[in-house]
Amino acid sequence: MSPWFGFAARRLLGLVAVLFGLLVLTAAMIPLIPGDAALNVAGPDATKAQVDQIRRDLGLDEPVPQQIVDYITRLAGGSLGYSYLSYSTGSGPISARRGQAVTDIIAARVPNSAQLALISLAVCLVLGIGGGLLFGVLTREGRHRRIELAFTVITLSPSSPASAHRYRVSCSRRSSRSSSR
Amino acid sequence: MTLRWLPVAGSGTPAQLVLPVASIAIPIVLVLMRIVRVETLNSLRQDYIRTARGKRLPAAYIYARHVLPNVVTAALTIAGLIFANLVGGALIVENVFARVGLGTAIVQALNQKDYPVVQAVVLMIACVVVIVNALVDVTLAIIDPRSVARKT
Repeated sequence: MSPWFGFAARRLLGLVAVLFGLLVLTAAMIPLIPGDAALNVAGPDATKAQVDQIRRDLGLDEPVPQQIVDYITRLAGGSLGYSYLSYSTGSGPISARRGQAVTDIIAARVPNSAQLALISLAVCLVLGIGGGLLFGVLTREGRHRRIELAFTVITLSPSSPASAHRYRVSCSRRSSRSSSR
Repeated sequence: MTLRWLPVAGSGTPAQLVLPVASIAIPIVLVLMRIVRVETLNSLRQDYIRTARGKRLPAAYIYARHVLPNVVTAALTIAGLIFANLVGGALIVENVFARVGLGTAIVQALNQKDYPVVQAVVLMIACVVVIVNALVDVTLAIIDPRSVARKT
């Protein structure tokens, strides 16, 4: 029982550390992207006052560490922020002028992507393991040399030129060994 | 040349999933098959397989019960590494086949400099990759408890 406890503790600690690093990095993304985000939102013919207002409204006037902390606290509250697209300048409270919630934009799209990823993963595992096992059994101890050759050629075709080169080297080595035999 | 067998674009019906899934899966399946085949050949050389054959166990039983579990650990390790590729591939494939998904969302958002959406999609995908890797580690530990004992 004790090795499992240590294992779980280590894994969990690692997971938390990685997730925290991930949060900080993604939060730092907007301040770190080259160019001024507020100028992008404002467009080419905005006045200085409008740009300043946008910067204040979107929290871009804060120092970077403060922006990161803000992002993480917002995330803890279940909000991924608000899109820049439908945001509008003008008077009135920010809650009435800010863009569509990012969670709303994404929520509709997640099931489609999850479906694609999960089905692909299942297909990969079933065909990959099943096919590998099948061809392993078929070509065990040097049986069905032709099938083995076809398998190697087909499975190598989508991969990089480097691995094709490795294969050619191993082929020539094999043929030189068999000729010396 | 047009065959008109499968729809090329859009999302919704199962038929529209065939081509995107194929374009993601084919390269991964082939790489995985090569690794699994080599592992199978290794496993078939082991003494316990000779013992099982000596006991006159049915061949199908030997492959399913004695070869497969030993192959799955290697396959899962690689699959965990490949999964990150799969996610990246899914983003591109969604754009190619015009599916409504996170991949099209992030490309649109990048074009429009809508950074909060980009940020959210990046965060979600990274979280999925991290969590899947953790799950693979745990699954490996359950299938092959030696890996837990070895590290402690």
